[in-house]
Amino acid sequence: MGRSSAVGRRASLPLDRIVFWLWVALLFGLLAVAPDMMSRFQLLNLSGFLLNGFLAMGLCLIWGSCGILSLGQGAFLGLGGYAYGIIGINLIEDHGNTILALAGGLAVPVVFAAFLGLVLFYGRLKGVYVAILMLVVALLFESFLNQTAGPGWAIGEAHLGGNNGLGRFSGVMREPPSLSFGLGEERGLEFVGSTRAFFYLVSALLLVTYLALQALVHSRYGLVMRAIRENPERTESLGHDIRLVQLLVFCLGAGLAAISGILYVSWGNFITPDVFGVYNNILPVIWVAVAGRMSLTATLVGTVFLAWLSQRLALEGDYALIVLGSILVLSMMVAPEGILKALGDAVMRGLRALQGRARQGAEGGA
Amino acid sequence: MTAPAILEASGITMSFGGLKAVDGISLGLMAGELRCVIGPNGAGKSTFFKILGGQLKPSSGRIRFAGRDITRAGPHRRALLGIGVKFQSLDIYPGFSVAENLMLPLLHRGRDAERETARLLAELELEGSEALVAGQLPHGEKQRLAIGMALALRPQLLLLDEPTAGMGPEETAAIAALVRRVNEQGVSVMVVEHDMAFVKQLEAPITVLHFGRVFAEGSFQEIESHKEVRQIYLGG
Repeated sequence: MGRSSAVGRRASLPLDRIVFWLWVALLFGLLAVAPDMMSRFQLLNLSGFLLNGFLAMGLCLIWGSCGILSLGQGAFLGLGGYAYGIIGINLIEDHGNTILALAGGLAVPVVFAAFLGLVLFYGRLKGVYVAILMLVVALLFESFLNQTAGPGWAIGEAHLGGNNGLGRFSGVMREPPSLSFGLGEERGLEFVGSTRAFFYLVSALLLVTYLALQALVHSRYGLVMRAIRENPERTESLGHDIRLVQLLVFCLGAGLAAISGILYVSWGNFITPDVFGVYNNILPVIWVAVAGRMSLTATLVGTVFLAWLSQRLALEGDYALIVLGSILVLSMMVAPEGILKALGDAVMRGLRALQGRARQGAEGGA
Repeated sequence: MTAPAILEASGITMSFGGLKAVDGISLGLMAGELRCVIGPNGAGKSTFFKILGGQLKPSSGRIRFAGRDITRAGPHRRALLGIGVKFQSLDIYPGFSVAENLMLPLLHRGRDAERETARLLAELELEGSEALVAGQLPHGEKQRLAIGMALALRPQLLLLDEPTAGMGPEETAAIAALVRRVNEQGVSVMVVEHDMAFVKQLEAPITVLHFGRVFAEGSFQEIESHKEVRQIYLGG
């Protein structure tokens, strides 16, 4: 449903644009009225599903647009969440806001991604090696944090809490605070996970991020990213420093994962080492692959739906990953580019055919 | 007064384990020169080409381009310095439109890019095809587009590896005319090729490689009548 990137279909670009902006208006409308149609618990859950969108769109960007499959985006989500939580716990009483925690939650994973990206891309690693290395990095964080249960594992007031993580389960006085803005001791705007304010914050941020990423992938930089995905050697010979582009895109993906991590901690006021685990690293890959890794729109819609489905399945028993895995296999067989992407493309083909027929009719009438 | 050398490769060696694919090749190209590099399979042509393009780093030897040492420079740096490359494989993005293919090397140009795209489409005789998906073009037009992408960099030196692979006589003649035209505009061109009909049409000096070394040099007539070259390359 996203705008087509092929100039080969330039004649129908206005139709693509119309459909795209209609979709954005629909999305905006749905998000605007959702709180009035839901209970507080449902709203809390929907916020939880939506905040995964940043992580998924980041993966869509680095994998779908630039061809870098990472099986360890959970590492950046976790680092963002932990950094936000640790700084937030320590500074919330003094500062009354989480601005520094937010900055730290973004900076730590992005700086780490820059370091990792330098090694990966300037070392000319690619393909499956990047994917596996990222998973290993994430699992190392999980292993490390799981053994931080003792009282000695604390950063200021923040006890890392081993596999209980940061939060009320760690038996400490302070849990990671909800996002709050404002200066001085007086807390300004506070975004508690179960509130409309938090939902609207996530929705607005998601919509802005979605539009910004759409603009990016359809810009000249997006063209270079797609060229790297298709043929990195050729792109390099056309004068583009592909290592730098890959590094920047990788850092952007890490930043988006970090936003998910920060919002997740702010939403639930806790985070555990599980976020670095295999399940939480593979799940986003399934969301993006099933929905359509080359479409931000498909990724966004598919992620929210599959996150909801995962929760429903988890309530029924330990079937979530089996069912999601089966959906992945099925979608790879039926629509390798992603089910929602294929559906969106089919709808656009239908609309173009209708447009063509209408034009012919009009010309015939004239 | 002789033209200055645009490209000087000296003592280029490339070893893969115990195998020396390129064994001490020294080869120069004058500014504005058109030269063909030929040789039988396994002569080291494509390896030497990739070393010139920056895709491979030589085990030893130096490469100078326009007086600057580029031996360790990566492919993108060489492209920005003025070396346009078209590899042996079909070097287009088949899923992109013709215009997008040409835009990729032009993105460094900023505002100039659209005007330059139009100029290139005319140069390549691809006017009216800009909105087509490149993968759907006929084979000859794909090859022309691939050459055009290298030309879009406004190179001082154009490196072409088998630009007529898989083409019929008419398309081959069209590519030969295009290469000569580009050369007449002042661009130095090095063509790695084994299609002798194409090489003949270029009317350019030839360097013959064999077992990773320079085996012979001369005009087409000289190479064609060279007894040992006929033995190793022309089969008799």
